[in-house]
Amino acid sequence: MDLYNVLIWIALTMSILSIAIIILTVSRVYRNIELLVSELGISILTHKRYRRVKRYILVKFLCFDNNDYKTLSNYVKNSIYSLLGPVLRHRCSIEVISYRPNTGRAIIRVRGEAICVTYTLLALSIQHLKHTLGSCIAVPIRTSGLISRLRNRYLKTSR
Amino acid sequence: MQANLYLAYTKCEDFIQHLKIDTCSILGVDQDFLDQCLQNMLPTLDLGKNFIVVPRKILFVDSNSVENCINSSKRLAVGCIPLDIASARRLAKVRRVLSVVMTPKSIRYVDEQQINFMVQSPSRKYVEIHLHPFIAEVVEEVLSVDIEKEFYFLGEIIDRALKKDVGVVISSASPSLRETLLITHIDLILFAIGFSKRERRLMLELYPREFVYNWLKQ
Repeated sequence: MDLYNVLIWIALTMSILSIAIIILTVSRVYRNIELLVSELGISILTHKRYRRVKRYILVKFLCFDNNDYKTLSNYVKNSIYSLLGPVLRHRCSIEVISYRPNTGRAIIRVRGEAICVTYTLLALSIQHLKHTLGSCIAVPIRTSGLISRLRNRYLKTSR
Repeated sequence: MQANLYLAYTKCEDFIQHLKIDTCSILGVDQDFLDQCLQNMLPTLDLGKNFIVVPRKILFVDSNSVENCINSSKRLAVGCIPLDIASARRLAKVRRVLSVVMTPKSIRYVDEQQINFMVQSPSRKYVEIHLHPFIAEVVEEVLSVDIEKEFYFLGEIIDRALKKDVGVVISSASPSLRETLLITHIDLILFAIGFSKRERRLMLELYPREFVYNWLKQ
């Protein structure tokens, strides 16, 4: 009976020890894997500084003066870049790629970091408050990554 | 049914043009402006859509003139801009449906404490944000004002009010069509500040509607 009790105690101690060893080993292995992944991640990231995105924004312009494509394109670039400032200008590229003067609709392409899209939308919304820039109210209608998705709304005949 | 509960227009043509280009259905204008021109122009106007025009009065109040604002809330959907702490607290405690307007001038007085007082108010109170004065500071590049701090504070107050279920109403308060902020612009500005779609819907649709409903019930 005494021997049986001793054996039980030995077995219990050994199982507790083995559990402790497993926990220690797992945590060390996990830490090492984590270090390896982060090292690898850094080496991968150094090749690409930031993720460049391209978005198309369908905008309706309500202009107080008549504008052709070139005037509007210059107006949009000038107003957005003046609001974004020179620091963001080298990160965000803005281009009016199409404009229909009869409906006042235009498609603007934004290239650069993801935040550029939000900043461009914000700049478009408030640019008409700056009197020195001009006299067009821009109403962003839809943003998409594919120009084909904007086609139907862009070709809409009614103002 | 989106709402822009205050437009500070002074020309009828601007307001008519705004009705044509904006998508919101509830609009607020100054009572005097409404009396002067819109009663003659509105019946002849055919826009092909229904909209509600709410007569508003926006008043600056201090501890001496706060009663004027409270008394006007019987007839009009009043917005009071507090210019001192005492008047702001008085507005929170009064048994009337009205809005406490937040502009760069009153931002110091519509703080967390004010929201706590408004929660305890016997009747429903609303924080009304006039966005145009804030955006004008950004665009005009006013260097004497810490704009980042103002917008941070604005976001914090809106956040706190939404958490405590105090109504938040966003109005453009644009003085003319050339400086207008349409409902799409307001939505984008709120998005840029960091509010979710649900929060923006609350501020642009549900709370303004509730404000008009409670004011009419009063």
